[in-house]
Amino acid sequence: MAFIREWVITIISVIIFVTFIEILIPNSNYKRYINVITGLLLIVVILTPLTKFINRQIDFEEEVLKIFNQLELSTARNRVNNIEYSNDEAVMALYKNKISEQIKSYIENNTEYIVSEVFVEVEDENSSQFGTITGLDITLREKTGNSKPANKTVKPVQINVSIGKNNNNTVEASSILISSKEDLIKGDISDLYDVSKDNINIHILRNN
Amino acid sequence: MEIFQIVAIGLIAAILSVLIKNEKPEIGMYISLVAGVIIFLFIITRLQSVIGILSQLANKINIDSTYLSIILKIVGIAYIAEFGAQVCKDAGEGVMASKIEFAGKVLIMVMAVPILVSLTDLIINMVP
Repeated sequence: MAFIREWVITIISVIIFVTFIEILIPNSNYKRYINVITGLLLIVVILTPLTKFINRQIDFEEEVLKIFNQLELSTARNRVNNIEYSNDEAVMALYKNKISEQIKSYIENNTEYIVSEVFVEVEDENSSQFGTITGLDITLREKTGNSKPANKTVKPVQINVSIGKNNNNTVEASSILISSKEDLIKGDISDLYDVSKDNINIHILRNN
Repeated sequence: MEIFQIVAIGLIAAILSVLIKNEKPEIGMYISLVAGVIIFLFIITRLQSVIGILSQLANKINIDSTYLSIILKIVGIAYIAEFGAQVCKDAGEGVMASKIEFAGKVLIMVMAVPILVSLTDLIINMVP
């Protein structure tokens, strides 16, 4: 019964939520499109609990992120192929920026870390696999809110983190945390972007 | 009450642009554009707080943040495209306005594609 109760509550609250959103929509011909999309979302919300009955677990959120990523990739490819966009580097920078934003929001929503930097390495134009991600360097920081007060006897240590060929950046932190959480995040991201785990580097910096 | 200020700005802009229209129609357009931007900026801070409350609500009930961000992005695209299109229509450039609306529709559809595809996947997986 608890399962059905939760299901009904979720559906009703989503319907209330959608009604509220409908007030916000400007009174125009966009209304139809937005109604279609909110309808799709409602179907998703209704169907998601039913996936528990089939053996396969489907992570809907991850699917959506994956498809977003594919869309970004094909958009970047199309733009580079277009003659109008002679400045390939700007397009690639935009693409990398989009990916790092995605990773940032994914990690910050799913873990208790704050992403301070993401470096994305992408296959260049000459390769047939143009646009696929070859490597990721992610620097994480613990959230400052729940950290303990700094221990005065420990002096801050300067850590030199050199990434790739030409990135030589210095990060100030008290210590570097190496734990199994890093592996978990690595696994998630390698699933999401089809990058092998060896090519993902995650550095976690401790605040205290 | 903010509504008084907004209505006052709108009325003043309307009267000014009607007065000036006979002499210099292009300045009338500038006035309505600037008034539109001012009203938009006035209301955007309110909208921000409403959206903040909506996301709090969504956290309470079990909606994924992905859905929420998609819906809010779509509402944002609709608002901005609508605003741009209205400004163009006011200036008498109906063609430009319809181009902006077209771009807005395409962007909204791009946001919807991931949901559509994964929903189809879900349904295909569920049917034995």
